[in-house]
Amino acid sequence: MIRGMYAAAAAMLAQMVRQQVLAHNLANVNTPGYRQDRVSLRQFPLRPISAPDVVPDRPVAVSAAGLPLGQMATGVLADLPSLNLQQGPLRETGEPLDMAIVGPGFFAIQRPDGVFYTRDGRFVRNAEGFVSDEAGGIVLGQDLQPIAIPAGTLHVDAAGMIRADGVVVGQLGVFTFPPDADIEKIGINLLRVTGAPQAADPVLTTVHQGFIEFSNVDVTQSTTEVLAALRSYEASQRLLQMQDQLLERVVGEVGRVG
Amino acid sequence: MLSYLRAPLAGLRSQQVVFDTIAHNLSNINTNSFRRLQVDFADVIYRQIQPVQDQPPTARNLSGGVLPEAIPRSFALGHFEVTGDPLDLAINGEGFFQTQLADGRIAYTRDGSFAVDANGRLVTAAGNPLLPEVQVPEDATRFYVYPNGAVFVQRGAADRADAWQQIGQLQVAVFPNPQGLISVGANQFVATPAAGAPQVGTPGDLVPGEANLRFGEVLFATLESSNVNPAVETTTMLMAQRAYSVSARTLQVLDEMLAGAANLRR
Repeated sequence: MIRGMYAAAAAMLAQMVRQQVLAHNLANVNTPGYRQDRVSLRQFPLRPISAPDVVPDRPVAVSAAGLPLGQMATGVLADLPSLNLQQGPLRETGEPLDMAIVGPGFFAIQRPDGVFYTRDGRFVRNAEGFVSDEAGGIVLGQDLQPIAIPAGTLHVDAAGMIRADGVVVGQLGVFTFPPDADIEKIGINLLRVTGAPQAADPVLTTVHQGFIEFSNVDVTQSTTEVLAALRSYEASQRLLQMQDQLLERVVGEVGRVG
Repeated sequence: MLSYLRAPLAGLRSQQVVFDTIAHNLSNINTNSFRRLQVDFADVIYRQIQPVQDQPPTARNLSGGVLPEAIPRSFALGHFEVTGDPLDLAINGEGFFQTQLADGRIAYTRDGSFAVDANGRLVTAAGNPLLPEVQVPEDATRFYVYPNGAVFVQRGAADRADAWQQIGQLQVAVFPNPQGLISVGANQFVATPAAGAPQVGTPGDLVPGEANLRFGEVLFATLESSNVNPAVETTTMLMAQRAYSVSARTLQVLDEMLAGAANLRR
């Protein structure tokens, strides 16, 4: 019975974690380049349980190795959130240095503490004339070097080639990673990736000037999941209360005389 | 326990910033050469949850939320309206007029609704003198500014038709990164290190060191409107409203869950 209480409590905790991740996703519905977190639930390790070994001449006896009944799971926990890398919708902004990637790949951002990757393509020309992001990180080109651009009108083609007056001044770097690369969010729309970056396939991946890619959070699905998590939390809570009531009876009523 | 509520709370707060910004944009829709603001969001730094014993961490990126990362201005041009007032000037292209603030700092503005002050100087609507100074003679009857910024006046009565005489030369300042400018109100900006060092030159000339960028030319008797587009603002507001209500809903649900936990022992 106590075991059941722990299972119910574990379910409540897991649903709370799920709810928090959903809340985080939904808070970022308007964050450009944001990638949705997915929560999966996982059961606790199974453990074998045995039936009490009933011996005829004694009412009840339990042997150490009773009759095996099977396995029992004792709870659930929320697994590490995984990243949903699906394409987000594009939104036209008309700003000349807003870039969106269609297809797999990330822009590379050089910061004092390393190179990070992002799908958030709201770039500006900084005071030194380099393409940079809004937080001051330097956007790297296909050659992993900063891109110096002249002021004035620029045209960026689907391959990320930046042209000023018809002259190529640089190429925006778009990189992909092997499927086993570890991608971790660090905030301000940046991802830390361990793995060797490769230039993205220009057939699969295109760059679009004057657009930003929006968050890929699916509001309908997330809102439904919020309700589902709430109800399953409530169910576990009810279960916990019922077991508490049973326990109360055991303690208070079993064996009472008169 | 309150950390549970942080993400939806951050969602509500951030969308509130969008409402404030849209209100600011829309209230300036008729402000000459006003540059619209937009809010850009970023997800917040993730907090590492310590794993329990040898179990993998149950949730690496709990709490979190969203914050407004930057509120950049769009420096897209507004449209130009001919007003017929000779002291209305607009910059058709890149750059700012320079004016001197009361505290001696140089401010940059695209709002060219100038006037002549008591000392005969050309001043902005806020009363700050234009730099380099243009002294308009008291007996000037007609005033004209060429696209290259040369300021000419004709003195005396119109029927006497004196020769046109140059009294000044307007200059335009261009910044490497105008997004870095800080607004000081009244349509004026001041420079910051993020904006870079301004280059000042004659309207229409190439900016030194830039292959295809010119100092914007001056349009005479014309004002530039704001670049606020009501359709864009309304769309942004609708999106912010939806995001706001979805965060409000998650906040409500999390509150229900916490209430459930608090009432376990009844």
